[in-house]
Amino acid sequence: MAEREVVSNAKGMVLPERSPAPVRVSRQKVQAHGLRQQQAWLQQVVTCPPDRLEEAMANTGDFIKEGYGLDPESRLWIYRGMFPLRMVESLQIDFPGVAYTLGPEAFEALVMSYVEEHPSSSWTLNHLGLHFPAYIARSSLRGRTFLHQLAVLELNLAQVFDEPEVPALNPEALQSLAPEGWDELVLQPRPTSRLLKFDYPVSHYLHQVDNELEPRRPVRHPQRILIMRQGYQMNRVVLPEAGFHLLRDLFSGKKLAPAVERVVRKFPAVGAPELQRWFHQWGDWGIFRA
Amino acid sequence: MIVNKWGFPDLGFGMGLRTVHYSHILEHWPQVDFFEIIVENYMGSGGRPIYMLEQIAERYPVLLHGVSLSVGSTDPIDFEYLKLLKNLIGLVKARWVSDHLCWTGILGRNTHDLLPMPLTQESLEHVSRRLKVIQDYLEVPLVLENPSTYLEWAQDQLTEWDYLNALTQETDCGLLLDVNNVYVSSYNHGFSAQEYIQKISGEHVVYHHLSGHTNNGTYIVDTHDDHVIDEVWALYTQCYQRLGARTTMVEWDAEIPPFEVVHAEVLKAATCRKPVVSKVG
Ligand SMILES: [Fe+2]
Repeated sequence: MAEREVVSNAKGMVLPERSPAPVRVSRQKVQAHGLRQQQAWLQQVVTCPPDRLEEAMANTGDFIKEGYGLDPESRLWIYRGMFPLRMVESLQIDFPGVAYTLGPEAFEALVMSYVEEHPSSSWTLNHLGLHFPAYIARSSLRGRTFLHQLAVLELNLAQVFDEPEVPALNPEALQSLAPEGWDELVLQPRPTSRLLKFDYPVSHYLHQVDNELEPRRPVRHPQRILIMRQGYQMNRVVLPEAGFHLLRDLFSGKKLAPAVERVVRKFPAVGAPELQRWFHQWGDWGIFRA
Repeated sequence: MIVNKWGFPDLGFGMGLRTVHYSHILEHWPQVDFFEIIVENYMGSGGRPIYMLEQIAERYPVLLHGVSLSVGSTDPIDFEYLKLLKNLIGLVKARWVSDHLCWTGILGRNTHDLLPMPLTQESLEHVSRRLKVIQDYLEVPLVLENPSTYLEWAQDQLTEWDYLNALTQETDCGLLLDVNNVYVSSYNHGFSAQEYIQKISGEHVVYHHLSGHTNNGTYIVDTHDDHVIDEVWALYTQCYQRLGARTTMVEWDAEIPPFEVVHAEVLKAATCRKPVVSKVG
């Protein structure tokens, strides 16, 4: 998983050869505008969708100095051109699977329409993608159910990356829990452990994307995932259905004994050796809070 | 030679801390005088970023540089942001924090770009008022960087250096004189970079940035993706001759080469401080 890194440079921005903004600009006497108006005007020019650009730039001459070397429209175009690059780059880092699946053009179009509805309102770009999965689910994209689930996985990975580090219950402590205490015992997940259930094998698909194996869109097949951060490394495993049910009950705050009883009732094939193996693994993985 | 008014020491020559260099740094603990971090990469994260920062801050001085303060915005000041920034100041025991003379958005929106301020009296008074509030809250001086700009406002009344000098007088903020940005803006707007450096308030300059850029003929974009060009080295030498030794760092933020390449650029800055001795015989 790529790590987002904000830097202070400008995006490599090359103006198109032909006049980038075929708009008529008034060259009359400059009208005085207050700071707030100046900022509102420039922000609109930089961020508005293409169909509103002509209107936004109509009074460029009132705001931007007739410069040296470049005309005012080209100067504005430098800022306007960098805006989508920033937005696309940011969501590309968080949603590499969605970006790969759609391809660059469709991904950029999706990002820009999304940003129009959900502009960044935070000092950090980490929150930009918060509504992206839901936006995909509401879109008319082909295969949007798969894309939505892939985006949900990717959003969760990005969020777990930044969760606070809290100590894990160590494997020995987990093994030594006396059965008589199980009735009341609650095992809490660390903030860096998350369970997700999908109708498509999105985790497998994303793994292939990450490794540049150029996967094709998969067919429906349920997949239950545990995301965990271990030693600041992001990992995820596919869980068996019964193990997933048990962990989900535990993560939701159910006490250990009733949770185990429930899973054994629902999945009669699950016996003591299986349970022991799971708890051993979960202890090793450090998914519970100390 | 002019000493900066806070008596902040010359920390020498440093570089931006970037994730691609983490493993090299942790393996070799190279001889670098300090690292500068982009604060937004470490604020609000409890994961690897803060863990890496703690390790590096144990061995090196860490300078804090931001891109989201939006000091010139006409929206209310974001105190949630300032609170996180203040935590980071405490964590690395920073004596100052820097950001840019710019605004990043209004009407609750953030463009995540460093947008240019109109250089007007109104804008100057607005930024002064906000700077005072921000510095009171952070309890360390704010050091403002001259940004690279691609446009000038029709209503501009001041040069950028006069604007920044007035701001330092009014608020006692410091200046981060980015020598490459002076060059980029002078190229884009046709003013004299030498005059800028000659006239900037020397006692307020806390440190320097150096970086590469992309020259597209009629304009330059501040891409930080290449070596510092000779004209910028010459301006940096001019800074040294006028201001003396000031903390200096190299920014390389795109197409980032191996650690040694950036480090060589950092070491090159040190050679600008040495008097030129011609070989005889
Ligand atoms: Fe800079």
